[in-house]
Amino acid sequence: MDIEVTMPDLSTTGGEIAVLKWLVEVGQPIRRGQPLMEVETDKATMEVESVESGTMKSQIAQPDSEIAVGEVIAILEVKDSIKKAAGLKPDEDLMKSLLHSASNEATSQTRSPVPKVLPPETKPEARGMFARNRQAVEPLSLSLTLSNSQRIVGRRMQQSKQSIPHFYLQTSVNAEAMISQRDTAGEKKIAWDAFFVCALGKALKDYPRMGCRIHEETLVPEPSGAVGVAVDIDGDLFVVRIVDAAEKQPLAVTKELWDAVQKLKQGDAGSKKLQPAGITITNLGMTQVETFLPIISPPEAGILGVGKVMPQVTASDGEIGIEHRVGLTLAVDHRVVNGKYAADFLGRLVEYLETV
Amino acid sequence: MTELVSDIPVENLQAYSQEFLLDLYEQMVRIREFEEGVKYLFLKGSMPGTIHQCQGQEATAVGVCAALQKDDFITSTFRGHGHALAKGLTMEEMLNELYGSTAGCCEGKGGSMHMGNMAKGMIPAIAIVGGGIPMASGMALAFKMKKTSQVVACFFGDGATSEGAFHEGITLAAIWNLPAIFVCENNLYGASTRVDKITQLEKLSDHSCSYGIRGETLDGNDVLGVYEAAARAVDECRSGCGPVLLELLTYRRTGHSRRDACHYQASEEKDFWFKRDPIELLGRALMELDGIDAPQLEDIRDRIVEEFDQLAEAAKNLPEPDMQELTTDVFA
Repeated sequence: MDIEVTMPDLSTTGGEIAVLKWLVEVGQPIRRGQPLMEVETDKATMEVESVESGTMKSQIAQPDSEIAVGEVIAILEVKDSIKKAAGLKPDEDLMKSLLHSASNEATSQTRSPVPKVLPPETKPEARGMFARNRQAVEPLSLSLTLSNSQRIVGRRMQQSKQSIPHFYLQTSVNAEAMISQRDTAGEKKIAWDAFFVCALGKALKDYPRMGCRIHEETLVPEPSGAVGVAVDIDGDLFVVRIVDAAEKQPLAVTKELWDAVQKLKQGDAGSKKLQPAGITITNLGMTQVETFLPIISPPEAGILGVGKVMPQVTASDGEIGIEHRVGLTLAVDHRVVNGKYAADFLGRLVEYLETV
Repeated sequence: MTELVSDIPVENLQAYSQEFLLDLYEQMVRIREFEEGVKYLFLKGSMPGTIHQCQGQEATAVGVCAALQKDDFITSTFRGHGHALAKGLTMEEMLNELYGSTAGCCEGKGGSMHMGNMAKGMIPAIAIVGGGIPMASGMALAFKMKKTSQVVACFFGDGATSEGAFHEGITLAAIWNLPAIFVCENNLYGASTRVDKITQLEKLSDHSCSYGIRGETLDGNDVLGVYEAAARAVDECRSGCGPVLLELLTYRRTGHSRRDACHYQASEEKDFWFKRDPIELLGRALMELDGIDAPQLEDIRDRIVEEFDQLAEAAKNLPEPDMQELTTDVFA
């Protein structure tokens, strides 16, 4: 009787199995368990063992081909009674076992190797996390080299997020005073950032510890009292530095910011260099962002995140009204100041912003 | 060094009845032929999933379980077919389980790595390495609090001794003198990592010193030696002097799983251990006894193989659980 030898399920991810070489020849007697061929799975080089004793009749799988699990790889000629060859059994038993193996044949041909009702986790498409991963990962057709500036920003932000114990204070401020100032200035135009720069400069004078940076076990004041402003130049992030912010007017600061941005756009190397500041603001008010949690730019002790200005319903003195407000988030280095101090600083900042 | 026997002296058999000795032999052969039969069902593609087999390690399961009573418990591992058969599960309920049938010992939801039958003293096997150790301590605590005389034998491999669960579980059992026998089947490899790469100890039973309990290392291929050591440990546990750590040196004749080519076992090492096959060791000694001959032992094997073949054919055609049963009999 001939039996088909199929490729066993030796791969770990359900992939095809590569045939390396046959270890037996056609016509050669084979015993059960004898290695028939060498194959390469997704994990290792292995041997396929014979499932029966008999004679190798034909070799179907060819070396260097890829075979799916369950595919026929060879035909073995098997003596029907080979397993009971000892002859110790009475004929009745032999007949029973022959009948049995005949019915085996019938069932093994009609029965699919995969159970009919599959539990969800063994469905073919769900098999093998690794196989799925392999399909999914396609490299980007266009790979981009990081800009110098982005490499530096990335390194500094990673260092900050990993080493500085940030905490965040959130509030919002009434923007009506700033709006009326901008309306009054008319053609001259005041940048929103300028209000925050001036107010931060003043608040830093009242709360000087917010402008300190930590150096080992000591606090070192940042002498300039400068305020940094994060700006986006063609997708890259730079910080413009405004010194003596407490003494300047919003209109002057606007001009200073404008000039600095022009220089950066022209590729001025000197202005790209990072200058120390006491604190920095990052403003996403021109987008749809209401509030966000910024990352401190080391070695500074804080950064103010500014969201968009928007009309909000408010209740004050028992009256419901509508006013324009802007969301603020102050990220603070907890090694430098504690929550109360930073909250008082933020409160003072709000006062300055609402009375520009 | 632990002495590894190359022959079981026939004097060692004299203390036992032939019935008992033949039963040990038959149980080991049943495990071997069950595992071999399952291996070919897997290779033929009719059995789904992967399997972790224990050919070569039969004496540890049979020797330990022979020292237990029916109402004593065992915990087992992903390599648990031998433990299950030795604790009294039938080939039928296990084959049915392997084919995912509702007639299986876990109603088709456990499969190869979770064989078990609470009525026969085996909680479904735990496939997490070392996972059975704290559970065995918990069971032993229950026995002690309920004042029953039961013990639990906890099987695990050499790799499990590096798990935190090993330390935690044995520490608890030690401080409360719980009736637990921790059975480390040291087959020299944790998957493909040889045991001498994961420990500086010469014997894994030396771990017992750090817990203040008794430990013993012995030849795990000598089924009588294993039985006697397990019987001593059971006595100690029942008299409130547990737990005990047994290290049984043995060897698996197959890969870690069916998909493991097992290239890491050196051929000299294989030769050494294959010559000390636990079934052949006992078989040779048995044939020295009056009234036992080779054909008689051969008959045992033939009978088991025939029974296996019939049960496997029947198991293929049994019903699987309905989809509606997906969430029954499970915790989460």
